[in-house]
Amino acid sequence: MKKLIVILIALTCSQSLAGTGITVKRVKGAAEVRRGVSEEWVRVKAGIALGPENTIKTARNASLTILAEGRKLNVPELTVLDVGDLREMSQEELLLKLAMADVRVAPPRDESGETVIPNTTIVHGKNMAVPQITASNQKDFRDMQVRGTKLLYDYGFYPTCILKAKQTMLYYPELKSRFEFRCMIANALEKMKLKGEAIGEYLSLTSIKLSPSEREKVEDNIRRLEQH
Amino acid sequence: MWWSRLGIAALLFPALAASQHLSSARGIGLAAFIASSNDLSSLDWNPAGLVFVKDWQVGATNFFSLTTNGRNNGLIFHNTGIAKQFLSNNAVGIRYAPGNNSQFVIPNIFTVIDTTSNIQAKVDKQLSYAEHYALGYAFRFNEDLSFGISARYREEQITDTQFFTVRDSLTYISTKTLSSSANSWNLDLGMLWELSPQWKLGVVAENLFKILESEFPEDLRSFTLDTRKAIRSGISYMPRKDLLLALDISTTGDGAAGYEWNVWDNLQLRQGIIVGNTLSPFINAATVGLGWSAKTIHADLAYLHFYDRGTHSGNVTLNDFTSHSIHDVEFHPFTSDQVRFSISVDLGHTKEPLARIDYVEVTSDIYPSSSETFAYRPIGRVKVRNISDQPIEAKVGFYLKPFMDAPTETRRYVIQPGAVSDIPFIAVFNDLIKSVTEPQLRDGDVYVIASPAEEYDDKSQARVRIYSRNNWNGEALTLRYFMTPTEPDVLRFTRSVVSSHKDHLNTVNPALLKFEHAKILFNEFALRLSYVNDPKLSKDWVQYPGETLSLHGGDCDDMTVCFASLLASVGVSSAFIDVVPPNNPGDAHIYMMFDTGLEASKADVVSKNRKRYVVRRNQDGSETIWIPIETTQITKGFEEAWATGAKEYLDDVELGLGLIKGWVKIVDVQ
Repeated sequence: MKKLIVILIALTCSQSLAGTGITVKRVKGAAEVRRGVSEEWVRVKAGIALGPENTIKTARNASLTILAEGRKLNVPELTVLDVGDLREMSQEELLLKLAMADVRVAPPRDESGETVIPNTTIVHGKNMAVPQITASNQKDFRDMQVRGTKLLYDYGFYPTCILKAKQTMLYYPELKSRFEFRCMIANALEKMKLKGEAIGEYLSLTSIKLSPSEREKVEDNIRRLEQH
Repeated sequence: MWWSRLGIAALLFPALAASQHLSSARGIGLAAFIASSNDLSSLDWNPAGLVFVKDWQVGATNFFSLTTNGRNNGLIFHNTGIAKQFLSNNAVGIRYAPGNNSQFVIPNIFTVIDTTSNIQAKVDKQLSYAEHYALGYAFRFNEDLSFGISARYREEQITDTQFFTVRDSLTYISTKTLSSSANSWNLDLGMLWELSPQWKLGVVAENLFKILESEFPEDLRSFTLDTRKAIRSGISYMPRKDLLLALDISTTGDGAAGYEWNVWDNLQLRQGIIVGNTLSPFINAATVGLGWSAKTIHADLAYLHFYDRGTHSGNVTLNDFTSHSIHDVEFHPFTSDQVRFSISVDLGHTKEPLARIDYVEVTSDIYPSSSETFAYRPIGRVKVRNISDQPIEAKVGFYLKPFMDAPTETRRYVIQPGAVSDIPFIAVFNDLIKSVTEPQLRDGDVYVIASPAEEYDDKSQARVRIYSRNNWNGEALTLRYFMTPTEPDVLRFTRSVVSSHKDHLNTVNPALLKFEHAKILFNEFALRLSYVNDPKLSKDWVQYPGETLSLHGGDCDDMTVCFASLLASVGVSSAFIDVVPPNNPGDAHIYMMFDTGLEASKADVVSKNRKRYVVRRNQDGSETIWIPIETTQITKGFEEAWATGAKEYLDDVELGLGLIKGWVKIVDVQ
């Protein structure tokens, strides 16, 4: 009960910094912003306000300086950053958000005992092979998002860093085997004093192909966390 | 026919007499039966005892009259009757007793004395008292208290032969027979109170009311049976399960005491005495009896013995007769020793129940749209008490006509003796419930079944509220039960739309086929339907998809349900997003999202903006792209409905954290 009250207070009190005023202080080179669910990117100009629903993107050799609650953040080149991620989040809030990933899972229905509404599937079209769908510049965009996630880590937005990293891995499964990226998640979890979750992250790393030095590092970290 | 012939010409009955009833051998054997009466003989002893008749009871009594005057009339049929319990707490009984009467013959001899002869002619006066008919009603006020009323029809008749002299050409003597009758109803009120499982108290106001139908002529009125009002009280006590002690007392100064001992399970031994302050001797009579039961058949034998061998022997002198009074048709100072045999049969639902329903609670109203859910989750609960002395396995049945084809039954619950178990019950409704158009109240039958061979041990009723087929309880979880993806109107719509876009769909990448289906269906949906408020201005009123299609519109609930049904009919899974803003619950709203089946890694194909879709893991473990849709934006087409839905999802779930704070719910409806 006490824990629940703490969680509720934390949820009530923790509002995103972005929601309380973020402005673009300086723009160098080509930087763009996308508002909400729009598909369109527009140039960013110094002095404009950014809302939590906005996403910013910097081109090569470009950078942004933004001011959030008096705190200055430098966004380097080739980075994609969701403004809504520039917010503090409590440990409890982070855990709930991580749990939400499970909530999002469409549950199996047959074992629940509930009535299943039958589907009637109509198949149309030619019986052609499924072509590989590839999006242009997909890898570039992936790397920009990785940089954005790293930026969150560097500025201490560990909860949103973790969430964004996990979300990004959904879109780019190859990131699951990127050692530095996974270590960043584990470190962020450790920073949030989520020792068990950090150990879990390291343990899952042991199942992927690692170099001997990487494996040794992972094992050292697991030992260190287990001892403390 | 039981009768007495007494050669006496007396008219006055000055003394009191004990008041007993002889209609059942069990009552005679126990002697004190007011607090223990529980069968057809309750019509005499205590009408409240009729409530203990289990269902139907048919009974009869015969007897031998044992006189010492040499007269023996053999086996005499005394009575037969029937009793019935109804509506759980009511019982009625009726009895015909041709043997319940007494006759007195007062001999009169007319003698003619002349010079040549001494002629004697008998001109007897006959007094007849009978109670051939009785009926009663009893009501169980609660578990412990019962009341009853009984009425006995009394017929009194005097037949007298008179003589007179006829003066004609010759003078001679002639006779004529005069007959007079007096009929009346005598009513008793009775009460039975179960003070505890061991103690019972019975009180009877005897002859409390008398309704006269006819009276004797003035000169014969002194022959009328002297009916007395009296309060008779009885108490019974069971110190052990196999022993019953009973005591009766009356305001007339009479009393009786007796016991009943279960020698074996189905064999009882009874003994009793009848006493009275005004009786001589004080202990006036002794009784002994046997009882035997086999399932629903009960047989009883009783012997009644009077200690006064004078008046009860059958030979009575004038002095005897004039010094005793008669107040009862059957039991009076001249009743002879006798052996009585009774038999009764319980019919219908007769077995002693093992379980009782203490309380029934209906926990859910019935919304026809989601009536299927009651096949899995309880519609109510029953508190069942084990009233036997053994552990029982009880199950509960529920039946609501005409909306169920057959009663539902729960699993068996083990209940210890005296314990109460809270048993939830379910209901499986038939399609008729889907046709309910107006809210209504119905009484359903609730049964508890504990005895293996019985239909049920106890029965009660549960009142349930059934809403209209279009009523919705406001829970997003149940909204999906309004979906009808196989309904002909829905199939007709999707078939026609998909067919008309067949050429386009043939060119679509199969990975995007579900997305394209949804897009085409929505745009066609937009052309044919428009957003309107609920017809009854109630957010709890939801149209079925067929109704929305035929009415060409609906509100957000209706549109969401209809579009989700259309998607389901082409194999696209969807989910409702139920939003109840914490600061303004009145703005509660529902929109939806559907599964494109497209893997998350290929999400850029539908949009490069991650905020326009939701990644959810499918049943097979792969993450796919779900598209939020605001169905109220129907007139603006798919793109706008998608953008609005995505914006709402971003605000409600991603930024507002509504899902983890609990004011947003996602309900899968695939």
